[in-house]
Amino acid sequence: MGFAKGDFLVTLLPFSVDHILLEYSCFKIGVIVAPLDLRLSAAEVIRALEILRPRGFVSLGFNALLDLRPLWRAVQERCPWIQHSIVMDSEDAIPGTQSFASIAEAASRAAASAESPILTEIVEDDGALVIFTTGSTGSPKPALLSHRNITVQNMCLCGAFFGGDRGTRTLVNLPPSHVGGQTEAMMSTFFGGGTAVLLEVFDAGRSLRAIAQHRVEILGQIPAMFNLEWMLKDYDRHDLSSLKFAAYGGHAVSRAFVDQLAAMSPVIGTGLGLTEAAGWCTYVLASTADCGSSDSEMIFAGLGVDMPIYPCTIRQPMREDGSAGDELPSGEIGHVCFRGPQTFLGYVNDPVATAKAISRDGFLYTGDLGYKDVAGLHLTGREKWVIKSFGYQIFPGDVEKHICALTEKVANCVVVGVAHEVVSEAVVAMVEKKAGAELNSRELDRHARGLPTYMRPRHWIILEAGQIPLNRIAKPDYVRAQEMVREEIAQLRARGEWDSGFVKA
Amino acid sequence: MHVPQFTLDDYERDFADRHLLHGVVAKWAKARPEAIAILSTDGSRAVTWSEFDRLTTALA
Repeated sequence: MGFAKGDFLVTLLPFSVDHILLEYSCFKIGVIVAPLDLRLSAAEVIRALEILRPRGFVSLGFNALLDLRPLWRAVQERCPWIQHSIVMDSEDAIPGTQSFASIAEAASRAAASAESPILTEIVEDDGALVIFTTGSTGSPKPALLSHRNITVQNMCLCGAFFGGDRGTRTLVNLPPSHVGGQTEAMMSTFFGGGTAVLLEVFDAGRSLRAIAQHRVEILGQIPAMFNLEWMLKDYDRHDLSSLKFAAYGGHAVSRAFVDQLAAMSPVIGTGLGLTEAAGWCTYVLASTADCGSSDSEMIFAGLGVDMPIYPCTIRQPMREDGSAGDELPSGEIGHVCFRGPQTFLGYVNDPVATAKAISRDGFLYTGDLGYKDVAGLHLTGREKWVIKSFGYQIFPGDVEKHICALTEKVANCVVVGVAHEVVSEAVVAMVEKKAGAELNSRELDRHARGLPTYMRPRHWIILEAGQIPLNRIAKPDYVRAQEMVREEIAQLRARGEWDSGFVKA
Repeated sequence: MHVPQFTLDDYERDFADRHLLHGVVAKWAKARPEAIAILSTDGSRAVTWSEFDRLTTALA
């Protein structure tokens, strides 16, 4: 088909068997695969295609449940330079496209005729996979990962969490557009010779049934997925006794969450996962028998330890000449950095963003702020979202954690800073109530007295259950939250209820 | 609980045949050809390591 080493192939597909076979056939000839999130709008798909300029694009066609013909028309109109438009699982042909079935059939014929495959020489530093960052702090960026980036992460994750080469069974129910689905759950399972039990698109009930039916041993999800499973009325009826290990990643959780996870699996874990580091880069484990002991305290408090192959340091900001800032001592808050073979090759066609992420001397600046101590790594917030108020630095996560401690009434919370004439930036909290809960700003003000004065929210936006903005992997969407907060503060400002006209006691 | 630690030496010495993503498939296709590598949750498809290696070579 004319694909050559270094070409891109963009996929917009569920996590199907054929999708995986297509990916690994690309790896063999050096074609770089960029799986996109199926929930993207046509405009977002076209944006990704325009950035990557792929030789081929593969997606679904139309059937009783789905009709992507409008997307295909838009792609064909806006991206005429795509040479191969390939459709999987369609009831009928789409003009201007080839069917994956016909390509697979031709491949089988060629294989049966014993034609020797023409395989390209691939080295471990070649690009293999592009994962778009989830965009919780800006527009999604295409992170290019090499074979080496990914297989180093696989070695560490498989060895630390999956039991090495035992060949365990892992449920793969995260999307293929995310490191959680690709490099972590699936490729780390492959690394240890295990079985990837594949769920095309996440569904809480189907996930639990798959664990029971296929005797799944390893389960890694984001907290929202666990919560959806635990909320099912028939949760207790599922036989989850095969589970040996369950891990969560994504964001901070409550003690109640950790306790519930410990009831699900004999060993639990978490850590820091980064797209730009091909997945996990710190690790913490606890066994159910340890719950209540110092081990479970560690899993609740921090993100665990790094690996010698990919050490973490806390550093001062990157210098103007692009070299890394000095390393900070234990306990001091600074920029969370890593250096070693998991650091990605760069953002595709974006040298400016790449230079901000990787220092000249090879340190990955993750964009997170945090500190290290004997228990490992602790995050204090995203650099971009630190609020500067009254001359203090306020980490949104600290305020969010305090507000979310009102566990009977608060389901979720996002804290952002908004420009304020008096205090530079003022803290505003967006609070999502639990279903049926009664909650008002007076009650929240009372609760906030447990925080230092400068950290207390100056305004509350109270939302009904399910209304807090989340991104595609169910993390708080700070970009959208800030837009919503700014709209509301603009109205307060217009009424003289913000800035110098409003200084809260 | 103790977290097993991995070094660059481990990667270069003990996992030298798994530095490429498709090299991982080739390794297990030899070591565990009949074991299942990919299983769809509805049970409709199961791909062994040898099939995984053969099918991806054909498609490439």
